[in-house]
Amino acid sequence: MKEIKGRKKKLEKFARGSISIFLCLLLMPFSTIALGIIELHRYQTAMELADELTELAALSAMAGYDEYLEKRFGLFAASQSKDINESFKEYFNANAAASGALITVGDGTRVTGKYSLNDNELLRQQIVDFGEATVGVDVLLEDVNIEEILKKLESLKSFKNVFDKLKKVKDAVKGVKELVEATETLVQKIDKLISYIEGLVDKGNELVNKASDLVEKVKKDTRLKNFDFEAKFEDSYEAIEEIVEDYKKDVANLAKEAKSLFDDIKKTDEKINDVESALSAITKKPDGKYEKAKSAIAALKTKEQAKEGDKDIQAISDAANDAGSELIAQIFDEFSDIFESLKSDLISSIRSNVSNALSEIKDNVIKELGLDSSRIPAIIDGDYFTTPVSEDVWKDMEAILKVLVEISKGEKTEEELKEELKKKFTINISYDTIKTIKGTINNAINKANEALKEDILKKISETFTSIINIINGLFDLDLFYDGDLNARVNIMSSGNASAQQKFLTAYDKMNTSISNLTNPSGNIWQKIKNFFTSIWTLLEAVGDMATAVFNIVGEKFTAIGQKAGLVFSGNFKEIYEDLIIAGYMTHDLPNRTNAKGQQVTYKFEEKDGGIVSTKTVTYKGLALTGYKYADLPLCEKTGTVIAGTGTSNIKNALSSGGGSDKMFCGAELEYIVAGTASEIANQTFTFMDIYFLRLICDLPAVFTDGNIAAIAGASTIAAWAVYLLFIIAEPLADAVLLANGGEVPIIRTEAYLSGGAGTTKFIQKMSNVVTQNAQIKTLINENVGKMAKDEKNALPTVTEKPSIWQNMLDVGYDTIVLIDLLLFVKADDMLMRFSKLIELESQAKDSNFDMNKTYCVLEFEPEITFNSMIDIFNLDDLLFNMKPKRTFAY
Amino acid sequence: MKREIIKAESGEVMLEAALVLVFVILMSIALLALCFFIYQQVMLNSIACEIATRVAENYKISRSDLDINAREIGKEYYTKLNKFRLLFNGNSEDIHSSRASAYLPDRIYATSLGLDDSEPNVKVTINHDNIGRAHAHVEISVKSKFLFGAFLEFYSFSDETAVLSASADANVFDITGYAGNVKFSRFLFGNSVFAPAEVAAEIYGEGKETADHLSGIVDIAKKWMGIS
Repeated sequence: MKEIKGRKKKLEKFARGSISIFLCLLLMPFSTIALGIIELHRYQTAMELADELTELAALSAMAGYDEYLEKRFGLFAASQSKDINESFKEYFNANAAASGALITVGDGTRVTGKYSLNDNELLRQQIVDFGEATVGVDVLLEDVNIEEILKKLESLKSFKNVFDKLKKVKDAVKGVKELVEATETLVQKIDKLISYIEGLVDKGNELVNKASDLVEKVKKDTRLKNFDFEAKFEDSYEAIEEIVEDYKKDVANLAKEAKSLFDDIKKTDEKINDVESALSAITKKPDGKYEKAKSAIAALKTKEQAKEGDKDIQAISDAANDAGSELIAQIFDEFSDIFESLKSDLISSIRSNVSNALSEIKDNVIKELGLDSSRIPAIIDGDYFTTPVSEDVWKDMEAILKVLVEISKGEKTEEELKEELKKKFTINISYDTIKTIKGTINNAINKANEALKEDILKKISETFTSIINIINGLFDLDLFYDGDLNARVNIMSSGNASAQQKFLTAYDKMNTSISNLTNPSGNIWQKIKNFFTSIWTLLEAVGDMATAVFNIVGEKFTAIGQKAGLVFSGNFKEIYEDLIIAGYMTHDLPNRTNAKGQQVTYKFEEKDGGIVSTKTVTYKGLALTGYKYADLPLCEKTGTVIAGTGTSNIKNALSSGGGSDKMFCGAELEYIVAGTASEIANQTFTFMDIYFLRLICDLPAVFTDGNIAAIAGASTIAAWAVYLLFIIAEPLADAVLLANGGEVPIIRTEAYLSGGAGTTKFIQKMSNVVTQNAQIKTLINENVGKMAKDEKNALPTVTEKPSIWQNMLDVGYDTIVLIDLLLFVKADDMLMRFSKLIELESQAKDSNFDMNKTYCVLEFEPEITFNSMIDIFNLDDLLFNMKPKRTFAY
Repeated sequence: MKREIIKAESGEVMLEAALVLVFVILMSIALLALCFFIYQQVMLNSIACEIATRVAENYKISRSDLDINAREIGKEYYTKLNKFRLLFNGNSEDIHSSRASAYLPDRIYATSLGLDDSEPNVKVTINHDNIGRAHAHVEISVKSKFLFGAFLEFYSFSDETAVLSASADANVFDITGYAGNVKFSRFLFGNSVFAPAEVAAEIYGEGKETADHLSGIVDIAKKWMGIS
């Protein structure tokens, strides 16, 4: 029993601790698995947390945006003065600590700017975002109904046919010039043909002589009866064959020259047709228009007098009428005579003589060349060389040889032989005919020359000089730009002034060609040629001028049509962004009419051995973003202000380069329009752009004004030139008004410069906007109305309250530039220039600003370390590192 | 003998167990089905939140081919922002619904415990509040069939194929849009386009007139009803 008890105790002793061991063995894996699962859960949580914290920290870091960009332009980009990388890390770790330090962010964290506002596409998106509501409302409130304007502009398409008609004038001018050239070529060709024919006659004579010699030899040779003719006289036979071969070539050349001559005659004939039809199109007199216009003027005057009851106004109107209308009418009457004489004398006689020449050649020359008359039409139509002319000649040669053989056999006498040969080569007759043709053409030239009297040339010169002087007077205004806004900044020019340049170049060419117009000299032919050359140069210059205008107007019409088409087809999305961008530019950037304050101060100091002045211009007003223009970094312009007037100076301004100014002085909007580095050039370019836009809008005024119709009616053939003059001059008046803060109707129905009722309104508008400007006074006093200096004050004030409709259709500088931007400047160009403007302004505030670093899309790549509960063998670093990437945009 | 048999206790446990276990097992199965159901509902809520967050992050982007879960987004997406979204929502709702629809089936499949998930639906709506911000509201639904789903039907908890739905909201991330709205308000009132005093007077005037009309209607109604 004891033994059993002992064993039991032993067994109990042996089993003691086994449960613990057993538990240990069981719990170890269980605990490990449990801990592993917990760690896994922690890791999963860390993953989620990393994602969440990255987003939180990224959004927080993005709050460090560039404040100036936001306040001034309403744009968002990462600040360049703050280290966004550090901000991100700070925000991340602070948030991570609050979450139990499960994860931390390491030094390898990177925040990279991906896309900046220097990218047009991104800039566009931000501007549209900002301006969607603001610009839309601003445009509606301040810039009238754009759709209505576009409809009005679209309706002007009907006036395009007027330009088409005017274009025919250019065609006629070109036709006249080409006709002269063709006539000259024709005469040269005739000379050449004559020389060929002379050569051919010589060759023919030589052939006959050689043949005669041969016949003589044959006759004298007694061996003929004993020997074979062909074998004995092989040499002589070959000589004749050679001459015939040459003759064959000459005939082919002659045919070639003849064909060329026929072609030229045909071309000249066609040109004459073109010129005649073009001249008919432009010289059609408007029946009874003159009388009708006179009555209209009389009615206008009466109406004006009754309405205003002011003698001064009437006097101004009359004076303007006297000063402008009659002078121009007189000039164009003279001009008309010249065109009439050109048409009746020269062109008609060339036409009749060329026609005669053509028929003579058809009837005689070709026939007498020994060709079949049935082939003449083919030759005229250019198929000459496809038919076997040379075969015919070869046949002739064979005939000669046959005759020679016949003579050798004593079958024909020498006289008979000569007669036979002459029948084959009756060239002399053709030669005479061609000489006659040349004579008839020369006669035509002589006749035309008679028509060109020297006093007509003088009148042409005077006419154009007068026109140029009038237009020069209008262009000779420094109102194209505000001289105080004269910065030249250090940027690459991105403007395209080609259209303006072409217009001004054409204008200069017209001006220069008048001074080059000289009296013709030399013999008759040279005289006629010189006359045409000089008159053509002048007409070409006028044509270029008209072409420049037509092209620009055509481009404008195309652009208007495209935009209007988008509106009318309901495709608003396309035009939506452009409108927002153009509206944003117009109302967020200062321009020459809205930003400059009254206070302009000068500071003089010695610099580099001379005295230079520093000018400070104060600003007023608010940008669309609410930013005060007064808070803009001011431009400090040192040195002499660029001065100058006239087209050459305008051209210089348009092509002027950059300078060292930090930014523009207040004509930033003009930079968006033009894109040059010179503020004056930008103003000028904008002025010219407005000018061309107004040129379209003023067409109704020009074509419906009674005074202009009267002047044009009186000048008959040169009516187009009268219209061209007013088309050029009227928009200048508008552009001057607009650029100086005035307003004009979007579509004008009264001409300002024709001396009618519109002139009075123009004077009133002018006196309202720029009463202190001496040049405006000159324009009013001398060029338009001869108004006395103190008469301006005597003008009656406008008491009639304009209707809402009238107000809505009256546009100011802002609106006209908005329309200009919307219609004619590509959105990408606007954005590119705007981007440069942002850079300029921001650099003026902070010199370290870099447009390429205005990141609006950022990539966040935190280096996240998961902090495990127990880090064995640095597993944290090996296994639990991650770099999640996220991109965010403002 | 018979009494002995009756008095005998052997097998009692077995018998009791047989009775109780059936009930317990049935309850357990029902509970399991309920867990599946609840899990599915929670999962759906989580997906709704996920979608709402993603919609909010890329709210501006108009291209519907953008993966809603994309973490790195190329320039081609940032240059196609949704037009009219600030004034009229543009077509934001359609775009985001389309993106979410492309994402939802796969996302449900990845974590679903349902035997069969059909007709997943998602609708995104964008709401604008009166302080210039926009909010994305996401509603999703799916028909799920669970293991032991018949028990849920047995207990009248749901149909065997349950229709589950969830919704979530998120404040959209549109800094430029929001700033544009704020500046627009400032522009309207700050630039004297609409003077605040005039607006207030107008609102007051309109309000007063409306109140007067209502008062008149109430008076007439009272008269008809004989209430003095």
